[in-house]
Amino acid sequence: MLRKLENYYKPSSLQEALRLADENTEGAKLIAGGTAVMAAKNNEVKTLIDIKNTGTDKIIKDENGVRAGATVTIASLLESNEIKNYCGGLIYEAAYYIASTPLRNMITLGGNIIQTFPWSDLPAALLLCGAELSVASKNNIRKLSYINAVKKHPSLAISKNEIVTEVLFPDLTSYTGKFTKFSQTNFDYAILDAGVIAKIKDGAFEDIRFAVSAAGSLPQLLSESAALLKGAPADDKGAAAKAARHAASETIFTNDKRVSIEYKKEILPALFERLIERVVKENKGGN
Amino acid sequence: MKDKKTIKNAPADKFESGAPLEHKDNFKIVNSSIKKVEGPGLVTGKPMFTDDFEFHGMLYAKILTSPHAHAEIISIDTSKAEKLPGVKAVLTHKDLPRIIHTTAGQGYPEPSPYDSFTLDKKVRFVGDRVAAVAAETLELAEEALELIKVEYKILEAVLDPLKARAKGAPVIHDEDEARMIIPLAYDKNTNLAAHAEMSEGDVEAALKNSERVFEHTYESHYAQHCPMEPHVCITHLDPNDRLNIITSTQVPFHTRRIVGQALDIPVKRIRVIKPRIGGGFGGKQEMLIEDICAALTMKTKKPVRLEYSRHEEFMSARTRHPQHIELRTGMNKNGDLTAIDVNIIMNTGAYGSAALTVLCNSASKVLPLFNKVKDIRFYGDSVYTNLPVGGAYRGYGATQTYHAIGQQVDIMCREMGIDIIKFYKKHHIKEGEGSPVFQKMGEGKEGVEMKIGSCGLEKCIDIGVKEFGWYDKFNKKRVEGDWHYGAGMVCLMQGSSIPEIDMGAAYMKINDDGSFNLSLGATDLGTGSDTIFAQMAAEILTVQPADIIVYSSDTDMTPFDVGAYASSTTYLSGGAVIKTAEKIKAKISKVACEMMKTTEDDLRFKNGIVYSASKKEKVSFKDIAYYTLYEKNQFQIDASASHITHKSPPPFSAHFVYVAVDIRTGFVKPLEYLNVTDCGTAINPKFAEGQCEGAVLNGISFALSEEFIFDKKGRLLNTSFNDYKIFNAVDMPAVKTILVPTYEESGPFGAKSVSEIGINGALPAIGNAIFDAAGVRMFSGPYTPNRVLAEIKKKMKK
Amino acid sequence: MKTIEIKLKINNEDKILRVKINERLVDALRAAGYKGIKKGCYEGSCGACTVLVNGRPMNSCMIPAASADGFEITTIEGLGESDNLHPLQESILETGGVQCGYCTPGFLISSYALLKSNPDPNMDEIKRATDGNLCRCTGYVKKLEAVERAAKKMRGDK
Ligand SMILES: Cc1cc2nc3c(=O)[nH]c(=O)nc-3n(C[C@H](O)[C@H](O)[C@H](O)COP(=O)(O)OP(=O)(O)OC[C@H]3O[C@@H](n4cnc5c(N)ncnc54)[C@H](O)[C@@H]3O)c2cc1C
Ligand code: FES
Ligand code: FES
Repeated sequence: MLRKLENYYKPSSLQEALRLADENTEGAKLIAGGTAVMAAKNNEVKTLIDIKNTGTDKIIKDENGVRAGATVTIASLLESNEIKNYCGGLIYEAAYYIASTPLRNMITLGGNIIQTFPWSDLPAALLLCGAELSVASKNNIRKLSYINAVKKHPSLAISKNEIVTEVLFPDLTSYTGKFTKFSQTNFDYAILDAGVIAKIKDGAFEDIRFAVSAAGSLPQLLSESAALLKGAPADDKGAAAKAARHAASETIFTNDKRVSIEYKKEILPALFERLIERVVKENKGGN
Repeated sequence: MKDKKTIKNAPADKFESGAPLEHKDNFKIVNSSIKKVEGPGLVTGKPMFTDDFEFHGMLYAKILTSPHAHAEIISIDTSKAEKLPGVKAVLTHKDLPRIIHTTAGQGYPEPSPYDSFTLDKKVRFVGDRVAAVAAETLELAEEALELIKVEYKILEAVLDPLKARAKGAPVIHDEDEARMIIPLAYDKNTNLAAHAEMSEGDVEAALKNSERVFEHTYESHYAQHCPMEPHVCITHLDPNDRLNIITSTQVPFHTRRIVGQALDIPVKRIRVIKPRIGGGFGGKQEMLIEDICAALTMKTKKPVRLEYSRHEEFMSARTRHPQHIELRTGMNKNGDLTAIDVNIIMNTGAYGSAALTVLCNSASKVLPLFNKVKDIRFYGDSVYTNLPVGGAYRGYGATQTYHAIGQQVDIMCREMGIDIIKFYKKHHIKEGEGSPVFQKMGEGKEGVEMKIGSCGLEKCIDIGVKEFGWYDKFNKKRVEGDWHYGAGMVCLMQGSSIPEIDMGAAYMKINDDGSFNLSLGATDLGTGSDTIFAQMAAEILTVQPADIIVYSSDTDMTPFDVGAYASSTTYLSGGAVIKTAEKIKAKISKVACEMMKTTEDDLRFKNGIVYSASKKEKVSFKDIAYYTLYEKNQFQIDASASHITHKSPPPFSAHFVYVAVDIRTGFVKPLEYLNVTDCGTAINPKFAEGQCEGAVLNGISFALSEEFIFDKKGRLLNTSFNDYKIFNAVDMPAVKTILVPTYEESGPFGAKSVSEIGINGALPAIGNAIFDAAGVRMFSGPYTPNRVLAEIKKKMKK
Repeated sequence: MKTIEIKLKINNEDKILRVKINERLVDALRAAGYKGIKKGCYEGSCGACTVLVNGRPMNSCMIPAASADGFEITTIEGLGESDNLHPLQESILETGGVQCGYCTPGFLISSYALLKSNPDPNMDEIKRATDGNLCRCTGYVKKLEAVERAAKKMRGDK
């Protein structure tokens, strides 16, 4: 409940939203899907700027990759063929188990990757594909790589007068990606999220990336572990297992009231092994 | 009860297995799946729940709760809160009479210790009440809570039930007033809230003479009821200044009595109305919030509404009592069970709600199943801790003990090479048999001797084995990648009502058009009891259920009933409905004779019309109503009747489950769950199946996921559906219910209970299935992936 | 608390509601008389408050009432009347899928949205569409059956 709320703006253009964001830096907050804003108890927020009507809700494919507007909902992501086909379904898989049907109709791409919680599902997938954000302010648009955005917390990488308008999922035509969410029940926060993307050439990993979230407070790319597989034959299960084991030691874990860090360390290799297996299998299937 | 009626040959889709029906047709309305009488209102969203009522000038209440597990309140400063504009009342322990009572919604004298005050100067768990506020809006009430300054003296807390009775342990109820009001073991100085024990034969000797002795310790865990509608009530003063309480409760009459007691208001000044209830499962068998809300109304003279948030439901409402169970059993060479020795330490939390009776039911609803065993001992202590408070919860102690014994049977059979199916078929109690446990274990007093009148368990097992494909699944060591498959089963019984203690009553009258009002104290908490009572009355009066207008419950308008608990509503209150309807029928007969100038043996009832066989005349109920209301010798055809039960006939059930265990993550996926249940005659088969399915899924979710996570200071950390995970539709396995009809002579139309039994199976059956799949034994619930994996790792190290 | 006026369509009727600036849509709608909408958590996790917003099911507890200007909302009250039930409402009574009924409105709204976009859903699709609607009473079996049954009726299958 926002006890001190005084103003609710719902601008009908991005320009107006940016102007409002520029004028209201004190006690103002953006609201998109609203699912994080409405869940929080906050006595500081005086102004909400609703960006749902700013026209940033399209998904298009161009020569650079797939561009998704920041206010695209999770449901719309899942309905989009561009997203379904992107990188072997990487984003689709990461989005699939987010929350519940009604919530997926509300939660936005921008909200999920900016107001990031440890267990948020999309951020790790964005790291994997090297996504780039378009960040607009009244007089400027800048590009921000998501990898840089999560160095601290994504919300700290955006200033008060800025709005993320778009996410570019760069062209990864030759890659296959798979994502897994491990949770106790279906409608649940992840205990661990893991994702792998790889480019396989002549039966060997030309490039491969690992990412994990719900382990530490922020999503992590595990470049050391993935590097262990670079150049390795795609069907070398031993190498895959070794890299997966390494992932558990490379990952930084923070406490989670639900399960111990030891438990997460224990299961992470299994998740990665299975992901690698799926990536390889799909690749054989004729991409 | 009337002469033995028989069961209609159910349509094929009702009993899919084609279970043979024992009794051939002549029920018309009973034993058929009619639709819920209040259904159209429910599915169109008509206002019928407590919070749907609106009162002019209504205030919103909020309770300040303790952040400490155990503390004394040194001072409370409410001045700032009181000054906040819109705040109409702030109550602390200084403002209320100090009257000790129990919040357990049980009959009088309650077999639960008196250990609660509406507000006290001591707090005993994180979530315990400190103060209450009523304000013009909910936000103001919340803001006011933040302005109350409380100074606590923090006391050492008891957070481990096994250490609660240790020498020098902090005393949780050190107030002078705490006591049991009936002569039963209670020792507040050693945190003993209740004690129950019984013994039959010589357990030690029997164990000594056994081929093998099995000794294991089991832990059953905390759980919350999670009704979708939280606790909510609205209190107001009516034009005559009587306190009206509209509340989502399973026990309107007990609530009236206990609120009266706690606030020192005569019962005649209180009216409790139970509107539609959004689920209870035992959690609303408690006077939980009504007293404090009423106190705010008394102080402000205004309507006050108090609704628990979901967070408060977890923090402050009741829970399933965790039990630590040490179980010893013996077996002889040919696989016969020789002795059972049960030792329980039950954690009742900070207050002793149902602390005794849940413990007693751990024995009485479980041990008689194994009635061939001559040497039995049961010993249980309910101990106070500074943790959330236990209370009634579907299954009521039986759930906990079946966790232990249901797995121990599997362990014994495996280790002795016995077929578990054959074991159960041989050992379970049969028709005509009794058990000393029935007589020895009552609820706060001696139990009632009882012979089993109906038992379809053998049939349940046979049908289940076939339908589930038991021998194709059990012990097959099926492995697919990291997934290991396994099957488990368990047999169960429960009871129906508390014999010689609980009473239910009904009242009926005829209306002009030949319809009837049926008022009951019995509370439909979603189970469909209003509908099945309409079916029962309609059956007797040969009318349609739509001709019976059911109203439950309102302490001013409906006769007494203990309420919805102890699996009693159908069996107990149904008895009252039948008697009442029979009385009405007798009165109608008399008038019909007068109208048609004939004698009663000449009368035939059909479709709400009374025929004279000899005169070829007929009068409809409408004619009779007009005659008696307007024409001659006018009077109101009405009747009321009360019912108590003399036995508590158990329903029986066999549960079968098939799971897959991911041995690298410990994740357990339930795949198929079959329950085959004997509840006597199912008055409404679909409702009975629904009770089984709901209980089963609650049980599965409890076994695999639901768990209380505490910090080191006893604070519950997962107080929302985001981190206390109950199953949704995707999580559930393929659940199937098969009803096996039997006929319970002592029950209404042959019915027994069905609402609780289904929750008891999942913990042991899934535990057994996990063992079958992965070779690890889960002695503690819930079987979350991390726990299961830990056991798998342990096993691999060996 | 500041209030504002919002114009919206509820169950095909034009409405003007005065709402508190920080009010949740669920509370605003209930205050306006749509009591069929229930609430069990106020944090998006139970689904009791599900309504259709511009044709899609959403948790009305997570929607600021102030944002609802211009919305088209369908609540359980918009589905059918007690004497003219929607096939979903009828079916859930026939299968015995209503116990306490507290979760029913939200569940029916989610199912209604499903059947509009997918008249012939399989069981997995029904489960997925209702994954946000918790029910503690029924164990889901008969509720899911009701959606299948209603879909059949609406398609006119026998
Ligand atoms: C019960 C429940 C379960 C959930 N389960 C999951 C789950 O399993 N996995 C998962 O990933 N998520 C889950 N979520 C969603 C997650 O918790 C967040 O609520 C959600 O991602 C926030 O998105 P939103 O669009 O609703 O953000 P909002 O609440 O609208 O916004 C939150 C904040 O994000 C920032 N923001 C939003 N959009 C922009 C933008 N375009 N530019 C700059 N800043 C912006 C602003 O600071 C804003 O205040 C769940 C949510 C709920 C309520
Ligand atoms: S009240 Fe909205 S989801 Fe629970
Ligand atoms: S019917 Fe009671 S919660 Fe679903």
